[in-house]
Amino acid sequence: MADESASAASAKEMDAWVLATLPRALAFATSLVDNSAVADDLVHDCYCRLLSKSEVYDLPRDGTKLLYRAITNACINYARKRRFLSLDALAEQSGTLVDRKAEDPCQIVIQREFTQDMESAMRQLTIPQRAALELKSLGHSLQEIAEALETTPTNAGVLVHRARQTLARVLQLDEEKFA
Amino acid sequence: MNSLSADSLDATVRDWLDRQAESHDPRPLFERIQRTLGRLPRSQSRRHWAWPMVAAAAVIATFLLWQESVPARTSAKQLVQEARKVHLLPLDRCYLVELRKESELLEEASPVVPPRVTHLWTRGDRFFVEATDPQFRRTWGRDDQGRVWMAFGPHRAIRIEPDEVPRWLNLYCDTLTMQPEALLGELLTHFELTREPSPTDSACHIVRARRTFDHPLAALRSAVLELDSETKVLRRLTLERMRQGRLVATVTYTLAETRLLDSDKYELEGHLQTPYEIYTRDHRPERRLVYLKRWFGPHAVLWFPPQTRP
Repeated sequence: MADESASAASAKEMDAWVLATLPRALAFATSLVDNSAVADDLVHDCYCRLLSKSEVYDLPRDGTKLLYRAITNACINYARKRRFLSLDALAEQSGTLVDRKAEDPCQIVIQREFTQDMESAMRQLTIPQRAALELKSLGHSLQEIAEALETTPTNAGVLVHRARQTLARVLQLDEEKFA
Repeated sequence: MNSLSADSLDATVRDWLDRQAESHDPRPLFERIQRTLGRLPRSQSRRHWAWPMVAAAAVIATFLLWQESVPARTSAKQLVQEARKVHLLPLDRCYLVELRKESELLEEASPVVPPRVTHLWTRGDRFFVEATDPQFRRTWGRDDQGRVWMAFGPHRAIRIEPDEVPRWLNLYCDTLTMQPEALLGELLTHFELTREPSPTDSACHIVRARRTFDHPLAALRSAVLELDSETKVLRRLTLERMRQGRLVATVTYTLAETRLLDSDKYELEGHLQTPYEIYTRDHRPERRLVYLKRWFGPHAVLWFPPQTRP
């Protein structure tokens, strides 16, 4: 009886963790693979793999780190494979679901412009650069980024630095364009 | 990376990711994961759902019989719809706002410690706030263009453009203010509304709103509305504000006054007397920074870095 209630509590804890981390994980994966349907699948697989080993890992403590490592790897692997696919894959672009309820039109336009600027700026980065910069902005250390990208902390630092440089340059160009 | 520092770039990327995250509905994927892991059965056998179906039919029958036996009364949804219509009228209402901190996350989310009590004037979705602290008299608001302003007395003020307003400041505005029309609309769409018995000596209806699904990025968990039984105006409102899936503050709004104010009270200029000076990003930004530091503390320079123009 006690075992059952403990496992129910643990399942609830896992559900809360999944719900809390899911939107950001999806956003992160979508930004790396540029396709929300593919991102959905990759994130789904990563969560399933992690949750199936929930007895081995302390997910509420280390889960986020492991999750981003898994998603980064899955996205990079997907991008590598996609190079060998036909050009039809490019036509798979699908828009994200946006709830515009209760937002005023000006705000929508400003947000859309910001999103478009950022998307075009992020596309200038390689996938490892994009992953490194996004992980850094989410508060991961260089050591953690290096582990996720299977590289050294020095190289992770270089990736972050170059990504910031490119992003700053592209966003600056946009500012000049609209000045 | 001249004018764009590493910190501000990281903040921009984080902000962008947050916005992307907000646009994702996690429910379908969450359910898919649950199904894959076998926690949510794909389809259950007839034997398993037969009894719940019988029970549900019995409940529905009982409900229909009860409905016929009691006099018809306005549903919670109808009450909120009527309140929404009333709050669309161009009348100005002043609410006393009391904020109770429920978690340290409130301060993490916003570096500004909100005063415990303020006066909030609303008309539709426009608002301005009069701080009640006599040591530091100020009035501030967010206009219909999304610009945040603050008047420091009748002759000096600052204005922050929408693209400069940090995410936490928008969240802070949302936490403190209620924007009745938008709020009631949100309650009608995303919340389960139930009527609760009102105290015998009060002429009001009480409606409780509970979020139908716990979205981790939702800003509001529940609300209790006290509506005037005659006018359907919100007399008292208690909101449970959330951040990262946790309760951060309970905010109570009590109707203090109803009046017709000049429209310009919802604009910064309505609180100033000539001669006055408004410090903006383009007009004397260094002076604006001084006032921003008075409002937000020394870290203001991080959120509003001086612009370096080519």
